[in-house]
Amino acid sequence: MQSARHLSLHAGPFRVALPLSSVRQILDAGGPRSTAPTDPRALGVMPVPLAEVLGAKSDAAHPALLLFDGYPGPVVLSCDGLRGVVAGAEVRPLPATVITRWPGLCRGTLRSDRLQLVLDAEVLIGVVEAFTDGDAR
Amino acid sequence: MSGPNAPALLFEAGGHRLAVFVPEVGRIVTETRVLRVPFAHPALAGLLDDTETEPVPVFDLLGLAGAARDSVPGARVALFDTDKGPVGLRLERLLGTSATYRIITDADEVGAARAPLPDRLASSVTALAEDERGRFFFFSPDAFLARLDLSQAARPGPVS
Repeated sequence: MQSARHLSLHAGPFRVALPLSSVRQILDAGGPRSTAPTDPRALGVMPVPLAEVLGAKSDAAHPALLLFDGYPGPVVLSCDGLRGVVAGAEVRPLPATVITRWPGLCRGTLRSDRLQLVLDAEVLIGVVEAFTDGDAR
Repeated sequence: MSGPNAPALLFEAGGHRLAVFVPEVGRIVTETRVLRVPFAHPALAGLLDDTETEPVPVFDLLGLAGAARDSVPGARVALFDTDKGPVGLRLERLLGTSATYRIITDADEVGAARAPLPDRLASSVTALAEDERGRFFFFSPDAFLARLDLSQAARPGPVS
């Protein structure tokens, strides 16, 4: 059992939580008051929609932007909305009966107001690289 | 019809009439919502998001012939304890119990009845039976889980 602070967010149909320590910076919280530049040249790096990385469509007009350390450079993920920080919630492992192609991606679940999937940030960045390179298709 | 036999719970799932022995069913709950899991097998609708139940994967047999539906609020979900762990099966209809069925052993009849089933469902049923309401297959959650093929699961890539 683990408990730490997690950033709770949604990306398309997915409700996920990421260890707060894995997020280098919240560049923009998204929503109608978003001030984030939409031109990737202004950000210096092209944002990658998390929903699409996970296999679904993104539905945000004003996405939140999160900066991660990737390899060889920074990775900016856009997500459809930030829900907040969850502190002290217990992360429970997924049942072995969850049949998924990338079992290491989901470390487990936590419950705050609703159930959320806890993603492993390092594995997620690997999935992002597979998504952007097209190597895993 | 013959009987009495071990009582069976009859239901419709994936558009087919199926049954399990009553003692195999842990609980039947009403679905409120499910939490979708990325890169999951298409028959895995998600994790049951219910404050009174541990997160249990919910399978929808319609996903064997397409993609599982996301949440179906109000649907009944039968929970089973399998060798691999807990699993839920989304039911389209509960048809009640039966103890007056007979097992059909004629190979031609069984073969003809199996023919319309998707391959992965055909390999997850153990016997054909019939009672006064019609024919049904006995469904094995363990066999179903053992035969799921991850090659059908989604991969990272552009979303159409």
